[in-house]
Amino acid sequence: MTEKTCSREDRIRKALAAGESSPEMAAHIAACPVCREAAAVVSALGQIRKASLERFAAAARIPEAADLLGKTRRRPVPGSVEAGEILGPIRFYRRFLLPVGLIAGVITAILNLSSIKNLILSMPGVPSLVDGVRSLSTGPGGDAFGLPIAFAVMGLLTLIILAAAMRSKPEKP
Amino acid sequence: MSETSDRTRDAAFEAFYVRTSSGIWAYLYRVSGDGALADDIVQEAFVRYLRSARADLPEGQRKAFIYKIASHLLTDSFRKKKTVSLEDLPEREKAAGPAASDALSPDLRILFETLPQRDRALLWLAYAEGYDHAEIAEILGLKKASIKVLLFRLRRSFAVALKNIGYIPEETP
Repeated sequence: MTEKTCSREDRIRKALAAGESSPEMAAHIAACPVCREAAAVVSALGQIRKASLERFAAAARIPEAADLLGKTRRRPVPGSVEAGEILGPIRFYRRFLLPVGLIAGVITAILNLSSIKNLILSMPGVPSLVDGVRSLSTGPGGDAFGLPIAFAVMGLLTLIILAAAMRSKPEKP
Repeated sequence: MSETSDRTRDAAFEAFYVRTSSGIWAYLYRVSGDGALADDIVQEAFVRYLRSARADLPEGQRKAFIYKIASHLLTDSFRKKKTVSLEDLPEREKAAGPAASDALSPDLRILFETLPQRDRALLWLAYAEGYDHAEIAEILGLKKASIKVLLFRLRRSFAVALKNIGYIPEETP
């Protein structure tokens, strides 16, 4: 044993922190300045801990164990069998149904292009909007590309509005 | 998994939660100085523990695991706090206020609060919880070899500070 270190310091520190004591340990602490310091620090930390536990009893707002269990069950472990079962339909939709649906939608749109065009143009305000965009898009080359450009501009505007709406979606709590 | 084993597991968790949550809250409260933050981290730490499926470990290891999660969450929150806008600061300071009104003697409270966060955590884990160097290294994500040196210096400086506030009587030659 030296003045700065003691081979028994760690054992005594752990024992005192656990609330253990013995006459032999007390005698060593009385004789060893290192362990006396360690015992004083344990005592000080014990007071700080006691005051903190009193604070816990008075002011802490932590949930009941049952609430935590319920919360955990609502959040399946990523990669677990349970998560796989829950996410299965979503994965199937993303992998197969979404591409198939998109392709089917494009084919339907191509096959019914004129009907879709008439339907859109029958909506209130659309003809005047198309005329306005067409007049803007009519260049020296004439009117040949006016309508496609009008639809392209409207499509672009729709995408911008959708993108803005998705970006402004509130975050999950 | 059967309903009976679910109930047994839930009951074991509830007992473990009751035994350990107050001590972990006290650690977080004293190291952060923020009761509201301690509430949040205790909840999140136990949710992560439940999701980690470590219920089969011995209680001592499970408790150390919770301390590890809580310490990491606390470090993350301090990192985020550094980037908090100036408008948010008064609210955070109000949240840190209750530490001034607990039952601890002002000298001892101020002495502990003026220590850096890492030193407060080290002192707590070593002298209030009685963890050994390897466990503290694992909990705080530090090297085991450095824990011994850090604790030696901390014990010395904290004991001197305790003498300065009259907590430890000066030794007579």
